[in-house]
Amino acid sequence: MTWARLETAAVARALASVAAEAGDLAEVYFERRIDAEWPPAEARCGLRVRREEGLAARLVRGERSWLASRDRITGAHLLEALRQVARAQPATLLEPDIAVGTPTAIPFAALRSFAAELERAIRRHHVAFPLQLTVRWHRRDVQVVGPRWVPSTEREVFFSLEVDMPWGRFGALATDLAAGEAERVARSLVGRFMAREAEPPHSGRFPVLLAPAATAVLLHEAVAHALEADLMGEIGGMDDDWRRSIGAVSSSASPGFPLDVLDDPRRAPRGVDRTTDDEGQAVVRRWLIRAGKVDQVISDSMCAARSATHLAGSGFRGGRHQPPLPRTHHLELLPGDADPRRLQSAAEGGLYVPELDRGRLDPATGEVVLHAPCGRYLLHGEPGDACGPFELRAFVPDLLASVVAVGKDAQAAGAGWCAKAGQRRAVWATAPSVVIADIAVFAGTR
Amino acid sequence: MNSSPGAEALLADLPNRGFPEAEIYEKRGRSRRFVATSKESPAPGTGAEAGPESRSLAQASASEEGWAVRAGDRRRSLFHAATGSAEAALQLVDPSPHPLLLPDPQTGPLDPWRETPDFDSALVNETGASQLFQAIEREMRKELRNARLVAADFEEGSAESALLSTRGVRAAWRTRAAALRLEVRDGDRGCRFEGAESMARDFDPLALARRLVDRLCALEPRRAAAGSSGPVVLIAAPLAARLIQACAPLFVGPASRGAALGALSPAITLIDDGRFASGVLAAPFDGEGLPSGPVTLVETGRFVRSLLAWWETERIPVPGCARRASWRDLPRRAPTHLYLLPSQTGVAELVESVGAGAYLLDAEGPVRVDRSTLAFDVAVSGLEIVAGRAVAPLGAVRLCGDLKALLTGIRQLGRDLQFVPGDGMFGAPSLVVEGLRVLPL
Repeated sequence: MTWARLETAAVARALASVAAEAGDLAEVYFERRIDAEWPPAEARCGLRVRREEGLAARLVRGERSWLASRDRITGAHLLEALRQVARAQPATLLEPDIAVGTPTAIPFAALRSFAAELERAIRRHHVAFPLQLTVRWHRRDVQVVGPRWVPSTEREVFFSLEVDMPWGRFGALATDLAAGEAERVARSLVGRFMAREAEPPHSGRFPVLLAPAATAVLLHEAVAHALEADLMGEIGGMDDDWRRSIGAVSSSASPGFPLDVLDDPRRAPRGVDRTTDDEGQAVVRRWLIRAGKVDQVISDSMCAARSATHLAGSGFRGGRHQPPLPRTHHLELLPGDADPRRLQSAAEGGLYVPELDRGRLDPATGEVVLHAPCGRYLLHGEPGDACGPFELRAFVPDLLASVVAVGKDAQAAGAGWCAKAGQRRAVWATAPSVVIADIAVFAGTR
Repeated sequence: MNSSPGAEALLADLPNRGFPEAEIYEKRGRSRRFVATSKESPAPGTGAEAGPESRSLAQASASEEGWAVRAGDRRRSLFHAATGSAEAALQLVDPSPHPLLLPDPQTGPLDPWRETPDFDSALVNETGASQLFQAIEREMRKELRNARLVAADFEEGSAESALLSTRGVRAAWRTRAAALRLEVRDGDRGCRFEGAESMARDFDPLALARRLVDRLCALEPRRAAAGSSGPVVLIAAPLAARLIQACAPLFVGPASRGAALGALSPAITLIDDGRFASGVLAAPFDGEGLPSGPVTLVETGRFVRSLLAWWETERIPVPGCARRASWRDLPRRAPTHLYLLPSQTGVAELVESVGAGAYLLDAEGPVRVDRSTLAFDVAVSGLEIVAGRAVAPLGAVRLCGDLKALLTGIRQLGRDLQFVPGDGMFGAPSLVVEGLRVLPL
C-alpha cells in the first residue's frame, strides 16, 4: 500500500488557507520512489536500492512562486512547508493524519537474470564483445492534492538499461524485461559492434531514413522541446528569432509530408501511462502538430494561467525538490502509409539511422543537433555497409518541412532520459520510421 | 553533526547479520534557490530600468535528509539509501555477488582544518537575491544603457555529513556553497556567467557587472577582419579555468593520458586540493571519511602522477578524493579544486608583455574537445592588443588548438587565480600562451 493514511481533505483545507487570493495556484505533492540497480560485475559495490519519500508545497501568485520541499511525509513536515510558502504563520492549520504504507517488493529476479539473457541473445548473433551492463528498476508513486481537487495516485514503473562498451554507451527504457527485450537490446549492441571501426560518412547534405527508435528522439528534441510553453518565451527568455522560426511552421503548410504529432500521456505504454500530471491536472490528448501546422503547445498550469490559449495538463517534475515544468510525457507521430521498400527508395543514396543516442535543441536559435552512434548507407533500395558516428543538424522548421515519407511501422518505446533544466525524467514515444529528404550530416561529433 | 544513534546501533548489529564490513553515511542539508526571469526589455532610449515588477521570481526552499549503508564482504555486498534517519531495524535485501572494499582510517600529519567562522549564518533570502540581481543590472546599465539581465538563478545551501565504518573510520564535516548563473543581453549580443562561491554574499555585483560589460563590449562586431591576432594570446583567468577543466580527464583516473603528453611547459604546476583554503568544495574529509589534502599532478612541467583514489593505488595512502554528491550516490573519484599554481605576476604586466596579440576574456560556449586528437574549439570574447594595450573588440571569434599545445605553450602565468564550477572546481590564473589560434566564428 502506497499510503497507509492520507487525510486528503485535511491537506486540501490546509492548502486552501494558504492559497487565499483570487488566481492563486497551489498544490501539495507527495512522492514515494524506489530505484533498484543491479550493477556491472566489475562494480565496487553490489545491489543498490534507493528508497525516497517526501513532499513539496507550492504556491503561485501572479509572477511569483514559492516551493518548499521536505524529505519526510508527516503532517508536521507538511505544515512546516505550507508555512514556508505562505511566508506567515497561519494560525488555523491543523495537522493532517499522514503515514506512508509498507515498502514495495522489488523484482530482483528480473534485475539479476537480464545480464545472462542478454549474453545469450548476443551469442545468437554469433558475436561476443566486452560490455558492462547496469539494469535498473524504477517506481514512482505520486499523490497531488489541490485546494479543491484530489486526483487519484499516479504510478510509473519501468526498467532502464545502460551498457558501456569500448566504442560507446547504449541506453534503453522498457516497461518490462520480457524475452523480446533482450533480443531487441542485443540487436542494437551488435549493430554498434559491427560499426565500431567503420568510418563516419562524409559531411554533406543527404536524405536519411530514421527507424522508429530514432524518430522518437527526433520528435522529443525537435517537436516537444520546441513547443514547450516556457521555451517558447511565453514567460520569459523571449527570443524573436525563435518565435519567427516556430511561426514559420505554424503559418505555412509544410511542403513535405503533413505530420500529425500528439502528446498524450494516457496512451503511454502500460505501466507509465498517466491520467493526471505532477500538478494534479488531467492530462490532455494534445495535438502539437496537425496536418503539418503547429496546433497546441505543451503547457503546465503556470503557463496556462498566463495565456488565453494554452491548456494545462503537462506539468511534470523530476522530483519533489524541483518545480513542475511544461514537459512531454508520451509523444505520438501518427503513422503514414509507406512500406519499408518505399521508405528505403525515398532515402536512396542517403543513410539509414537505426538509433539516435542523444540530441539537443538550442531554444535561442531553433537549431536541433542529433547524434547517431552509427548508421548504414542506403544503396539500391536497402541498407548496405555500416558507417561510424555522425551528427544531424537542422533548424526545426526546415527539418519538419523535409519529412517526405512516414512509415506504417509505429512502435511504442522509451524515447530516453530528458534532463530539461537539470530535472531527469524518462520520456516515451510511439513513432514510425520517417524519411527526411535533405539534412546536414557532419562526420563524428563536433 | 555526529552519527545518529540509529546509525551506531545498525553498524553494531550488521556483523551479526552476516555483514562483517559496513559503512554508514548520513547527510542533511538545506538550500534556497531564486530564479528570476525578465519579462520585457524596456523600449530602447526610454531609460527605464527593470525593477522587481518586471521579472518573475520563483523561490524554492528545500530541506533534505538521507542516509546510506554499504555492507558486505569480499564476496558479496549491497548498498541501501533512504530518506530520513538511519534505522537500526532496517530490513536488508540479499546482497549480490560483488565485492565490497572499504578504506582503512588514515592518520598522519595534516594541515589543521578551520571552518568558515560564520558557517551558521542565515542562507540568502528573497531580499538579498533581488538586491543582487538589481545591483548587477544597475551597474551594467551605467556602461551599457540597454543591457538587461534576462535570467538569473541564485542558490545557496549548506550540508552536514557524518560517516562511520566497521574499519574504524569516523568523520563529520560541514560544507556550504552558493552558485550563480546569469544570462545578459545588450541588443543582439548576449553572454552567460556561471560561478560559485562559499557564501552567497561573496558575489560582488559591481565586479560581476563589469566583467559582463567587458564581455558584451568585446563581442561587438569587429571592423577589420579577425584572425590576425599574432602568435601569442593572453587568456584571462575565467577562460583559462575552463581550459583546465577541459584538460582534467588527462590527469584523473588510472586510464588518464597525462604521462603520455611528455614534457609540458616548465611554467606550470597542476594541483588538486580537497581542502583548498576558502575553496567552494573545501572539506576536511572526502566522501569516504578520508582526510583530504593537496596532490601535485604536474610539477614545473613534469608529470608526477594521476589523481587516483585509494582503491586504485593498492591501499597506498593518498589524500581522499572520493566525491559523494548526495546520500543517494556511491563515492566516486573526482577532482575537488583542480588548478594551475599562480605566479606573482600582475595581469597588467602580462598585457604589456604580450605586445601585439589577443586578450581573450571568457568562453562564450562550451569547450568542445575531440578526445582522440585532443583538438579543442571554443567560442570566446576578447580584445585586440597593440603595443601592450587593449585597443579594439575582436567580435565573434573562437580559440582553436589542441590541449597538448596549450599545456606546452604556456609562457607566463598571472597571480589572479580564479575558479569555475564544473564536475568539481577548476582554477587557473591568466595565461600567456603560444601555439593556439584565434579564428573568426
